[in-house]
Amino acid sequence: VPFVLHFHDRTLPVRIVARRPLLRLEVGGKGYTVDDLAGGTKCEFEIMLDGRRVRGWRYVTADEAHIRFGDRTYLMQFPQQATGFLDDDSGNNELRAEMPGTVVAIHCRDGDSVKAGDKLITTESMKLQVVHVSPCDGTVESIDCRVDWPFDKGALLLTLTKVGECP
Amino acid sequence: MSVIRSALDTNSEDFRRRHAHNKGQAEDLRNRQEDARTRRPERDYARLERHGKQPPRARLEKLLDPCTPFLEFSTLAGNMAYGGVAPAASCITGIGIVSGHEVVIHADDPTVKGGAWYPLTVKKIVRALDIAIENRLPVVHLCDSAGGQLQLQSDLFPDKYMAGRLFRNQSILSKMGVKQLALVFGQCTAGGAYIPALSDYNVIVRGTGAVFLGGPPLVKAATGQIISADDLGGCDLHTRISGTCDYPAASEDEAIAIGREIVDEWQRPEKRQGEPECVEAPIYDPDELYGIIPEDIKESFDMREVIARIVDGSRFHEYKPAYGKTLLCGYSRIWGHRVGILANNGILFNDSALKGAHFIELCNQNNTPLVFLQNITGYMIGRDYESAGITKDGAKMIMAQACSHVPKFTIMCHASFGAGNYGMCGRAFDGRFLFSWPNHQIAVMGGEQAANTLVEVKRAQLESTGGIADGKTLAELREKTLAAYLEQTSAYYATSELWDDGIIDPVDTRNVLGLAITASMNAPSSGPGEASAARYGVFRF
Repeated sequence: VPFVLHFHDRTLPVRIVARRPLLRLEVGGKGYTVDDLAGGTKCEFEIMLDGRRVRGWRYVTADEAHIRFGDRTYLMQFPQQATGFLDDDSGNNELRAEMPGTVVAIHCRDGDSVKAGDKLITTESMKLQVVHVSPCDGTVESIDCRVDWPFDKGALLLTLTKVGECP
Repeated sequence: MSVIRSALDTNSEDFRRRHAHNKGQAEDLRNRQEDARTRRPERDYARLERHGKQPPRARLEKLLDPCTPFLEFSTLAGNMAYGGVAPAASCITGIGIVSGHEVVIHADDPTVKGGAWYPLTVKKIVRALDIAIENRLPVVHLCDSAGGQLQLQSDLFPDKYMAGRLFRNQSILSKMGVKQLALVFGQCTAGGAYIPALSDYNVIVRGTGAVFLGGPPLVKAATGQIISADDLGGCDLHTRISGTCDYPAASEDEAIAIGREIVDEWQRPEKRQGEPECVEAPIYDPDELYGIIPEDIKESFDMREVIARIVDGSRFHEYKPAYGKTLLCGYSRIWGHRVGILANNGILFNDSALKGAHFIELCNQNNTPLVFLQNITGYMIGRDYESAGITKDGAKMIMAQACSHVPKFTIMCHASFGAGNYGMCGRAFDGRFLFSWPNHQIAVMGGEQAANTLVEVKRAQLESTGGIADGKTLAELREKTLAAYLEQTSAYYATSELWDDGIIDPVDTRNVLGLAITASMNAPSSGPGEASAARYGVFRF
């Protein structure tokens, strides 16, 4: 997923080069390795950036994130998220919300093997329920939502690791 | 034109479950329609026979050309009104073929309260005459009515679209050069007397037919004169003395035979599009429509699967397939007639509304009739969408649609909630025809939303007056509201109130549309370049 980092008057494209074993980012043509220490609270985070420990705070909305570390606050804007599954270089597929809504039902569990066409999640927006099905064979890497949870546009609902080719 | 590739798995559990459910619904529909057509107490049929009269369906069968289709309107009108005493709203309307001519039929039903007109009877006949006006279709009236239901007169007599509208419409039809024939089988009392009087031709049956402004009871009450119906306004009085009626007939069958001869002499209209030559059937079985429609009104489904089972050869030329994907737009043919289809595949967003407005303009420019397949829960709401101008984009779609000069046809396939109903050519927008599927639901908002809103209002009301809103009371209120709301949201309520031209079995959609489009081709179009063509109001950009 490409991001754009607005840093004062500069706009830097951010590209995810790899997710595993460590997150590898390319920002403005320069590479960084990130190791998430999984510490902190919902707002507070602690990461290893190229071997250096960095602590900071973040606030994320549907289409942007405010991140503070060092003595500065940065605004990061997400691109307009298209619906459904997006391929990226690491072979992951993410299901993101096309519009605000509520999760009605989850038809799979973490780690489930799914086939193309299997039901994953049912969401409801504007009185209309949509069943999201798997675009290909794969494994459910994580379910990032819960039943009855309201979500915003662009919210991550589910991550799938692709095994086969999408038909 | 490319064929839609169906992704429907007819072996899946979902398909089988839905198929069984919807087939059951269709059977229920057919049973209800059959009841509304023919199920009457035995004494009502016996009384007709005693008077030497035939049931209205028997008259109709003899009038129509053998083995031709009859597109009946609003068979279930009034099914949820007046405690169910007026099946089919006590009359029959539709489009049938008489001596090779497409005509609108209006037949009174003397098996229901002597053919008395209820408010919905009037609404149904007015609608049939509107159809005749809009599509330039001649009308055959089969008259046999005791007159207006006096207890309900305030609901059927005074207003703009009430009984007077019948005679206004008859006069306008005549002015337009659209012919009318009345066959007088029974009494035409008071206002009803004007139906044969305002028809270009009429035939009256000796002994049973009668036409008068005041019937024998009224004459007795007003003047004390005691007189029989036949002496007061029967066949011989009107065909020999007053000249109100043209042809005397010795029997109902003779009246029908004379009527068929009269229609046979009428000039044949020129159709807008020529008769279709070679027509392909859809390559997917329309029966599979049962397996597509979800049981739950909130569940979405792909309208391409529906289109694939309605249009010729399942061929669909999709317009802007990658843009505004929640509104499918594209060209197809139905029984050889070119159509532009707009079908909902989700909520209407800014881009889908703009695409719809643009497509409607293209169809008007090209003289292509529009078919709307509704499954719409609304235009998207929320700050993001308001700031992007969802209201003005929706307004563009409504403007383009409302100002269209091409014929419009609407099928209510599933949900029809909120402003989406307007954009997609709901009843208020003068579509030529509008039919519903039995699973259809219509309301300003969804039932659950309405019930929850009302419960919140009630809670606030109780709390502001110092009362206690206990959960049980509120839950009961919610259930009660929901039940009442759901009843009024159902297709059967909608058709009872004549918000459509009838409920149809989904598998008949293609044929119904075919008949409706053919009928619409009798009206001349204002072609491209003509003053009245492709004119719109002010679009808000």
